[in-house]
Amino acid sequence: MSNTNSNACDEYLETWFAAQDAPATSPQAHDESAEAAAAHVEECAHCAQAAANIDKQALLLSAHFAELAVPSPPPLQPRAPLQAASGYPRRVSLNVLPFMLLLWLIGLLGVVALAWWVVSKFIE
Amino acid sequence: MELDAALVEKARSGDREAFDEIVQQLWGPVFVFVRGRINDEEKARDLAQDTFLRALDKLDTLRSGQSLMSWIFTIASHRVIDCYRRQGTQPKMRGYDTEIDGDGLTGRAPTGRDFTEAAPTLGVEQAEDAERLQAAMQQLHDRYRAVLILRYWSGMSPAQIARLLGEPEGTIRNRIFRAHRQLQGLLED
Repeated sequence: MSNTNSNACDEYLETWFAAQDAPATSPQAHDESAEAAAAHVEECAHCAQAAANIDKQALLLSAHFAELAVPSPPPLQPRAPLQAASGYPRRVSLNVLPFMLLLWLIGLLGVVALAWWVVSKFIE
Repeated sequence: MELDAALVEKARSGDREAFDEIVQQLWGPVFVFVRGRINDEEKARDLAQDTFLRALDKLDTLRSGQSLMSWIFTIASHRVIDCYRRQGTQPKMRGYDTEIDGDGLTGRAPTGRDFTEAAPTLGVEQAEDAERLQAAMQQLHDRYRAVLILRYWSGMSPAQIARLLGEPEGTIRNRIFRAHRQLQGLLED
């Protein structure tokens, strides 16, 4: 399809879409350009396919959004860094696990060393 | 969903209850808007909450007559971009306040493929369709995603969306149409 035809098709499609989306009582749904666009979309295979795609997308979008769970709004108050909007502690990524284990190990070794030092002093 | 102008004015003048009422009304579209970019429900919820906290903090900068919904979508868009930056990743996205290029078909196949070809086949598994749609929605320009959410999630008419976003109805109809076309281009990629 040439660019000129493609542009004309785009305009027809846009007019058709606007009329589709307009309430049946609005003048936009009944003016001459809307009727011409509807006739074109029906006749032109390219536009008919595009119109079918738009209709299908609308159905897909409605289904997609219907499946989306929307939680209720949390209270609006600033959160602590490790608190999620739900109020519960934020989930921590597994990537930080080795670092946390290292810190834990260093802490443990520190406590053991301190205890050893205190006990050795006591024995002396 | 129609935002009462008096309610917005009350919130602007510091009425916390009015702002909480606005949050109740706008939470859904804002959460869905953020969720469309973030594949993690908990994080999306945090970012949506951050968006409203930021809005509450900066409410005095909202100009009189400016659309609160557009302003909040802009904040949400920035929060998402900041989130990606903190993670050190570059999202493939265009913020709500960035211009839409030319005919708005930046998401189309670079080969300039006709958007009617290779249409998603009716009858293919719903799950596969939904997955592709979600991936395409993530790449959609924020302004396009916003109107599709208001149209198909909130079920608002173009006239209602136009009033909510403070833009002409024709512009909104045109934007919904172009959003469909960009989405089609992305689905074909």
